[in-house]
Amino acid sequence: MHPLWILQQSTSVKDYFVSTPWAGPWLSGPQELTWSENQTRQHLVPDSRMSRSILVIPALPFHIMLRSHESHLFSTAMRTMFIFFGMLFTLSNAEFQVSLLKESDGVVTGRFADSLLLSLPPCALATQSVTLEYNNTDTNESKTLVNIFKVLPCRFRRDIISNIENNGQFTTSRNLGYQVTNLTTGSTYRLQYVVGAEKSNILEVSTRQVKDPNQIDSGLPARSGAMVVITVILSVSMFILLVALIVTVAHSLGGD
Amino acid sequence: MADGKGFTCLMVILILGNIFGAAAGLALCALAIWVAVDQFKLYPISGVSGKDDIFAGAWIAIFTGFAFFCMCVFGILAAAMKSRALMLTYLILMLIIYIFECASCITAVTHRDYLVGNSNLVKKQMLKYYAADGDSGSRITLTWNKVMKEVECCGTDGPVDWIEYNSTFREKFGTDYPWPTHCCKRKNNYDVVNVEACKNGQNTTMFTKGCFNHIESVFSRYTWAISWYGFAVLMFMFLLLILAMVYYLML
Repeated sequence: MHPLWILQQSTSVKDYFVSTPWAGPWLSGPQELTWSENQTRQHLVPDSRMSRSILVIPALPFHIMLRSHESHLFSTAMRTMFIFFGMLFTLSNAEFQVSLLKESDGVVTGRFADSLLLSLPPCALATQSVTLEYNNTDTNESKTLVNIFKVLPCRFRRDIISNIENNGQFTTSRNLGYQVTNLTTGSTYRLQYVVGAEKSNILEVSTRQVKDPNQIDSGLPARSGAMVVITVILSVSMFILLVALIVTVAHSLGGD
Repeated sequence: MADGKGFTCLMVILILGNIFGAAAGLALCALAIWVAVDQFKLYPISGVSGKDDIFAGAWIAIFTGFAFFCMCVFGILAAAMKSRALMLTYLILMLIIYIFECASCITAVTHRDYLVGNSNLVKKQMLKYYAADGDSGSRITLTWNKVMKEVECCGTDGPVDWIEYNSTFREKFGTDYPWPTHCCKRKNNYDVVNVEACKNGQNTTMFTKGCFNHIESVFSRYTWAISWYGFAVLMFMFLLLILAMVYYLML
């Protein structure tokens, strides 16, 4: 049975934050969290990526039970979990990941000459406003963009959208990342998101250095095999024919 | 030596060979006309670079193909009439045409190597001339727009070419649009599907493959038509001319 702790109580009486188990070999499938509220049972199925996120469960009093679909060993023992105050469990380090967008994220490239495409902070920090701090390591100037956007919320059942569909009546869209603009070409930057109390890791990346097209060497790359074969054989045959014609004419004139 | 079974046999072979050679020469003429017409409209890429001998070879092959046809018909006549003078004329003229056709084949395949051996020349030309002023600039721009639209591609090796290198396009229009809007997918009414997404480089709203594969395959197709088929015709004519010289010696 996986222990659950109340992490913190929010200021509103109705909300509790509960830890979820960290991923382990016995928890490979989707988990189901059930609680009962005034004799009615509620449950939600978070998707498997939310094992490190924070869930909000309204109302009390409640019984909490975590059931794993994968293993029945832990499933049906009804045990009332009591609140363990003072046993705060650190869910994870307070850092989340930020990275450049790559081709697998659906863009051609994340590095332009004067802008960069960054991934978004995780949806667990939803509705909080995001600040970006970055620093040009060459000139050592820092810049902070305050409250650039609010983190987008998760949805309980996350559908995979692989296309942007626009049939003229509706458009579905998805949010890929944030574009940092007005950067200088060919410089290295260190970027970090700050969302409330959480900071991301520091991403060190450089913008593209724009090259001069006159430096491209557009001379003959190599002679292909076809060219060599055709040239050699045709030249030899031309020579043979010419010699043969001269011999023929000479022979016929000499023979007369 | 003038009559005999071997002699008659050789005469028949020569006549049949000339019939076949006439057909082959006419086919060469027709194929060279196809290359010269340039259905894919890629001539400006080779024309502006100065390496346009694929098409020069095609023009030469039109004339030599037709000349082979005429000379082979004449050769039938000369062999049937068993005339030394006619056979000598035939031999000398065929040799001259042979030399011209050799030139066509060799130059077509050499210039193809210059143009599309690797993507550098096409890329440099695109970066320099796309959106440039002047006659070369407008021809290259029109050609690239057509290719990007029809083949659904962007840039030479990919859209990254536009942001990796400086270009006339970037100098003229700034960095707001990293690549031309012809790289973006369009609806049937020619509106761009999503301009902002295309500017950011989202895969679903723009073309991400490079155009060089198409350009290389077109120029290669033209070159193989002129140089390899011309080579085949010439090898046949070589044998035919050797036989004709033997026949001349027997006359």
